[in-house]
This record gives sequence, C-alpha cells and structure tokens, in this order.
Amino acid sequence: MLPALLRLSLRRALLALPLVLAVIAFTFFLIRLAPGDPAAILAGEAPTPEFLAQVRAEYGLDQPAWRQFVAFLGKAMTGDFGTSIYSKQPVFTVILERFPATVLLTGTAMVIASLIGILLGAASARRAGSRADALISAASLVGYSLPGFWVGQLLILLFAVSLNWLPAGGMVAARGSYTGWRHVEDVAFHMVLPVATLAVFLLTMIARFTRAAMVEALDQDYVLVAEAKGASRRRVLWNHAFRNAAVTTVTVIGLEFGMVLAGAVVVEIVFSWPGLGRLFYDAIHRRDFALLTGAFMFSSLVVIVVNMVSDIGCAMLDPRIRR
Amino acid sequence: MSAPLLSIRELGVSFPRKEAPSTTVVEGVSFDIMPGEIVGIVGESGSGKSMTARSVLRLLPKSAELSGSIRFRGREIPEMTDEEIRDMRGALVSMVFQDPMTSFNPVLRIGDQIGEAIALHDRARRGRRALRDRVAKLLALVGIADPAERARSYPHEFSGGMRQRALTAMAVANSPALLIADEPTTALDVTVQDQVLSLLRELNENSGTAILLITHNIAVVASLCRRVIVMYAGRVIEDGPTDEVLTAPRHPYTWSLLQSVPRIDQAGTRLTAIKGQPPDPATPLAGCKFHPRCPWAEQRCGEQEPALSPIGEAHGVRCWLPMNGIAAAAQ
Amino acid sequence: MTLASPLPTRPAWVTRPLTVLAAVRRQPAAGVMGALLVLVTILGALLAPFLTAADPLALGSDTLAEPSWAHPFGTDDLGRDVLARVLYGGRVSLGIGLFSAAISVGLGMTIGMVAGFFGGLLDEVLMRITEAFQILPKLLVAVVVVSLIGSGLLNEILVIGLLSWPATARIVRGRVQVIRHEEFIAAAEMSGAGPVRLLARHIAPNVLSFLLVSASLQVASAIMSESFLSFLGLGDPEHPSWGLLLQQGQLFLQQAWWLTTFPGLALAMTVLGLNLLGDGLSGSHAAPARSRR
Repeated sequence: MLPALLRLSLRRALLALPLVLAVIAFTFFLIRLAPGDPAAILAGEAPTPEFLAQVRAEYGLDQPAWRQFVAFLGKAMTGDFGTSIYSKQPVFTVILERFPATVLLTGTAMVIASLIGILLGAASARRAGSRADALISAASLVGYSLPGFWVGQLLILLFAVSLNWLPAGGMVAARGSYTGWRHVEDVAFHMVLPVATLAVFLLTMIARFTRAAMVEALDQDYVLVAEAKGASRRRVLWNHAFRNAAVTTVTVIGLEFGMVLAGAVVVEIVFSWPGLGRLFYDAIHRRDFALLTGAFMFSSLVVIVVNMVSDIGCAMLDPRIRR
Repeated sequence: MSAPLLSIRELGVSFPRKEAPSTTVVEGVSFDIMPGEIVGIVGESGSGKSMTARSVLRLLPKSAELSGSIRFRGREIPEMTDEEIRDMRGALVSMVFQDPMTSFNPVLRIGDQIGEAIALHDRARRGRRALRDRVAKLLALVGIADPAERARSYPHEFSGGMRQRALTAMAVANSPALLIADEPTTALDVTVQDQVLSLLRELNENSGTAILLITHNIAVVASLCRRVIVMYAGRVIEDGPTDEVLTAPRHPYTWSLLQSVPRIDQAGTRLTAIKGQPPDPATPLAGCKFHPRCPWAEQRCGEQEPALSPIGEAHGVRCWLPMNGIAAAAQ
Repeated sequence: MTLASPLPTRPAWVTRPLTVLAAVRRQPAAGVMGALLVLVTILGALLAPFLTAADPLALGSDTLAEPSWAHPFGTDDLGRDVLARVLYGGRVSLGIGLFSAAISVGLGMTIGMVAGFFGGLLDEVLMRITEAFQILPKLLVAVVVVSLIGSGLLNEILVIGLLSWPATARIVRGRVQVIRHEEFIAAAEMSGAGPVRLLARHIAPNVLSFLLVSASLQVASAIMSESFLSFLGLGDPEHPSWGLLLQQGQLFLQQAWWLTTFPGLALAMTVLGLNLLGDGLSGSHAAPARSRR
C-alpha cells in the first residue's frame, strides 16, 4: 500500500507543479501589466533613488523581459519574494513569521468544523425529510450565506462589547506577557471568537456537502446489504455510508480551501489576529506590492498543497481512485 | 410432517399517505417454507414479491406498515426487538440481493465485508487470523480461485459473476437456516447465471439450507424449485408444486405468464404478451385484481375478490373460474 | 425522502409519490421565501430616493448618532445617514453582483457547452484550465489584481466575473454531455445541422432552464466576493457598497454597533435570499455534490 500511495503522491505533486508555475507567471505578468514602472510598483510610493536601483537590480528590470521572467521564476521557486518596502525585511521572512498564527487559527477551526459539520450532516441525512433535518438544513444554509466578517463583528459586539466576556481582538493580552501554560491559556482565550467565526462558515459548508453525500450513500444497495448482515444502525451509518460520503467531504474541503483561506483573511482583520490575512491587509494599505505578491504566491502554494493532500486523502479513502 | 421453518399468514405491507387511502403493495399473503425446501416466488416487477421477501427480515422502508404474522421457528418476527432481529439477520436468515455490482461497499475489501458478516454474529470472538481463514474457506466454497489473495481485493476488481459468488459466500457465512435470494441472477450473463444456480442447489443439498427464491424468470424456478408461488398485484394467486403449476396452471394469470415465455419444445409458436398493465396500488380496484386483463372474466370477478382456495393436493388458486389444466394445454 | 432503510429496487410508484410529496412540501416554500427576500432588497435599492430623503454622501454635523426618528439606522463618523447609505449601497452591491454574474455565467456556459459538445482533447484542455481556476484562491487573486490595476466598479466587475465561471462551466458541461447523446441531437445532426446551429438551436435551450439556478447562486457569490474586496479596502469610495460600509463599521465597532449591524443585515438577507432561490429552483435542498470522478 505504501509504495502505491507514494507513487500517487509523486504523480499528484507532478500535476501540481504546472499550477505553481502558472501562479508565478501570472504574478510576474500582473506586475508588468500594471500601469507604471514595475520597479516603482515594487518599491512602493516615493522610494529613495537608491532603493529603486536596488529593486531594479534585484529583479533584473534592466534586462530583457524573458530574462526578467526567468530571474523572477528562479527567485520565487527558491522562496526569494523580494524585500518588503515597509519593514525592509525579506518578504519570505515576514511571511514565515506570520504563517504559524494563520495555521493555528485555520487548523483549529478546521478540526472543530469538520467534527461538528460531519455530525450534523450525518444526523440530518439519517433523518432525511424530518423536521430535525429541515431545521439543520435551513440553519446551515443561513450560516453559509452569512458574510464571515459580519459574523465576527456581531460576535465582538455581543461577547466583547456588550457582555465583556471575551477579548475583541489580538492574540495575547496587551498587558503583561505570560509565559508557559499561562501563555497557552491566554492565546486560547483570544482564539475563541475568531475560531468560532471561521468555523461557522466551514462547518455549514461541510454539513451541507456531507448531508448530500450521506443521503446518496444511504440510498445504496450496500447499505441494505449491511443491514441484512445484522449490522446496527450506527455501524451502517459510519462504517458503510460515511466511509463513502467521506470522499465527498474531503474533496470539498480541498476544493474550497481557497475560500477557507480567504475567510481566514477577513477573520484576522476583524480580530486583529497577527497572521497572513492581517499581512495582506497591511500590504494593501501600505502599497507594499512586493509583500502583497509574495503573500499571494505563498498562499496559492499553500492552497495547491492542501488540494493535493485532499486528493491523496480521497485516494486513500476510495480504492477506485487509486490508479 | 415436521413444523414449518417459516410460516407467513395474512401478510400485508402498505404505505400510508396523507389525506388519501394508503397504498397497499402486499395483502393477504400466506405460505409456509419447510426446513431444507426450495420455494420460488414469481411475478412481474411491482407484484409485491420483493416486499414480501424483505418483510421476513424487516428490511422495509421506514414508512411501510407491516401487518399479519411472520413466524420463524415459531417466533413472531414483527414482535421482535431491534436487537433480536439484528441477531437473526445474517445468522439464521440471510439475503442475497439482485445487483452484485452495487451490493458490495465499494471502499471496503471483499474479505473484510464477508468477515464483518461473521464477526457480527461471532459469540466466540475468534481472532483476526481465524476470521481470515474462514473467509478464505468461504470464497473457496463458492469457487473463487486463490481465495486468500482475492479476499484482499476491492469490489471493483471483481467481475459480476465473482461478485455474485462472493455475495452468496457472505450470505451463507453463518450457515443460515433460510436464504432469501432476491433475483440473484437477473443482472448476470446466462453462463454465470447457471453457475450461481448450481451454487445455490449445492448449498441446499450439502447444508440443508432452505431457500426462498424471488424471480421473474420461470426457467430459473423450473430448474431449482419444487414449489412455486405466483404473485400478482400484491397477492398470492397460485401456489403449488412446480411441475403442476408450470404444465397445468389453474389461474389465468399464470397461464398467460407461461404463454409469454419462449419454449424450446414449442418453437415456432407465437409468443403472446399479456394485454394491459398491472393495477396501480394507489387506486383501489374492486374484485379480482387480474379481471381487467383476464380474457375469461365474468361479472362477479369485478365485484368480489376470490380467496386462495385449495384445488388439489398442496395446490391453491385465487380465482372464481380456475382453469382445469387440461384445457389450458389445449388453448 | 422519508425512507430510513432504503430499498434498491423500489418500484417507481412507491418512491415517486414520496419524493414528489417531500419536494412539494419543502422546496417552493424555500424558493418563495428566497424570492421575497431578493425582491425586498431589489425594491429597497431601486426605490431608495422614495424611502429616504437623505443623501448617502452628504456630510452632517450629527456624527456617530444612534438610530433615531431622524436617522433610523443612525449616522456614521462623518454624519452621513446610514439608512440612505444602506439603500444606495444596495444599488452598488446588487449591480456589481448582477454584472459579474452575467460575465461568469456567460463565460461558464460557453466554455461548458464547447467542452461538453466537442469532447476529446479540447474538453481535456478546457477542463484542466477550469480545474486550475477552481483550485486557485479566487478571492486572493482578485485582491492582488485589483490592488495592482486599481479599484473601481468596472475593474471589480471584470475581475470577479472572470474568476467565477468554473462552477457554471462544470455543471453545463455535464448537462451537455448528457443531452449530446439524445436522439433529437442525432436527428438534427443527420438533417445537416452544423455544430454552431446544434449548440445554439438545440443544446442551449436545454441548458438555459437550469442556468437560472446557476445565475442566482452566482449573483450571491459575486456580491459576497465584492464585499470581501471592499472589506479589504479595495472598494470604490465614490460608490460605497455594503462591504465598504462594513469596513467603515469595523473602525468604530466598539462605539457604533449600527454601522455594522444594518449593512451586514442587508448583505446577509440578499445572499440568503439568492441562495434559497437557487436551491428552490434546482429542486434539491442540498448543494450538488462536486465529485472529481
């Protein structure tokens, strides 16, 4: 099994490579296509002549277009996204500094949303057509339709402003820096609202797709066969129906991960969470285009990798996809 | 005579509807199955034969309403608790379904699915090894070569015939007293059909498993069953020894059914399809359910429904004007 | 469906009344409610001048005022009337949503029909491109593009429209593949109809009916995308949309709840209405499973 999966992973990685190249090429042409001097764009507003020259040299902007592209590609592939005009630090360093916070936020939300979403979707599918199903379906459609940042804002208004139970933003308390266990507690306390906001969107999406896939799976012959074998309803639901529906759930998480990341961006802005999303916001407002394009290429890479992993996960779940 | 293994009396299955009379798909069905007997149920699709079979394992849709009595070894199946019925399913009574392509869970190994059937009823809690050995033995029994290796395959790696054999292996894993086979050969090629039928016959001869065979194929019944039950519009309309029913049918429906089957000994004669459609169970129909299509129907056929009444040794028919058998052959 | 232990070979007359009943019981209600919500927001946007006398851009001296009779939704930090801003903002949000959806549905339909009709290598190439577009984080692409080429209504419409077509393309392609093999197409082909005629006269009408579903879901998604861009500060300040109002609200979240509550409510209502309408039109309560197989 392992060699087969290894082969599959390599194949998927090979398929993902053109996509990565396309993202880099797209970014390159976008910078050249934008009105104005590419060097000026990358160097930000009113750069010093020295900095402008540095940028020009760094990107080889005095060279012919194709050499510029090769240089850009080579640098991007090795993680050299240029220098941030605002912090004067390499863009990649800035991104890596912020990335863990985003992983913590999206990872936690993803785990919670998957658990609840799958349970709700399965509960709904099992009672398809009942009142409980209608209620869950309606609630998930409402949740799916709410703009993420607005949910976050409402949660702040309720739990931070009115009730004053939870912090409105940030990752750690402003006063006093905690260490050790107290630090973990502090971060967890600050995570409650942003994670809840992001999870609402995610879990409604997962619940909707899981329900549809489970309804379909429960209608299959093998479910009846399993019942005829004497399997309990719970066993039929999870070992048979869900094992099949999980393929859809995993596919959807992979395909929609771009939306998840975009959701994380707005949630980070609403809650001043110091991650990649906040970086996007700052880069836009400081017109720090090297940082913006760098963060974009990096996020795209993350999305492509997650999608690849979900592909491999599907193949592990469904032997018919393994080829 | 010994006590029947399965005894069904006045079985009814209906689907309640809102603000309308409920749709009745099975009504007044009664028959017995003796230990070790092979009984066939024939009928068109929608005749209620599958619903009757599923009632035995209580595998009906949730909205279905069951009435009447189903006794297995003297125990009332409709009165069993969920746990009791689960203990019975797959152990004492098991089922083989129509479509071998969709009856296996596509994401689980064949061997694991057969193993599940054993483990669910395994009080001794055998270990994984013993379970694997048992699965391999079962696959060998149904004629799958290299069984230990094939047990690790996934359903899509099996051909249709192999899947139906594996499905049969799964159904007999716990040596059930009764095997219900719902159209086990319909989805298969003719050559594979024969293999599956001989497999069923061997099972019956070697382990004494009684078989209830649901089919719309009269040839299958003729080759396997000693007794046949003919169903139409949710009712048993004829029940008797296979050779008698097939050569000298007493019910006009059975007769027309036989007329529509091609026969080697009557090559060259025209096949006659039965005119008209079976009645829609959602709209009530007075009298005999077959009267609108029956060439011999009289006035009372459309007014009052006949009962299933004996017409010879172990032979019953639900008709006001049963055919005399000799006339049928001459028709 | 109200069946707990489903049967594989349920006769059609057993299942059909049940499914139809279930559908009749639930779908239209959802669809009608969706249509009503959408109608309310459209009317609000169209009739804005009759519903409020206030000018959405006129500054006032009464800044950050709580909702009152004079200003039912309160005022913002520059004393502008929030009710007027929400009503007129609907014109911007709905307009961008409508035009972007027109682009994405048109593009998706064309690509899907061509891929599904011609098949072969062309289909393979088009579907690879579609897949790539579907995987890429479209909102982040939009952010980078709009940041670099500049904000403005037209740019927003173009960017959102050009990034949102894959979902429609995939559905249309699947549908066309089914229709392609039906007899009336073969008949038309035999009577000498060329591919253009086949696509335009015979296939397009069959796809149109369910483009309505796609369109209402696409408008919802485009409105959401626009609010995302505006929330990140890439909206057009000359034409404030609901997203832009919410971005302003974020700055005064702790002082003025009305700045976020009302525009958000309008946005959520519209998107929910459009999603309900789309679901109701498609006749299926759950979102269609998007399988790769």
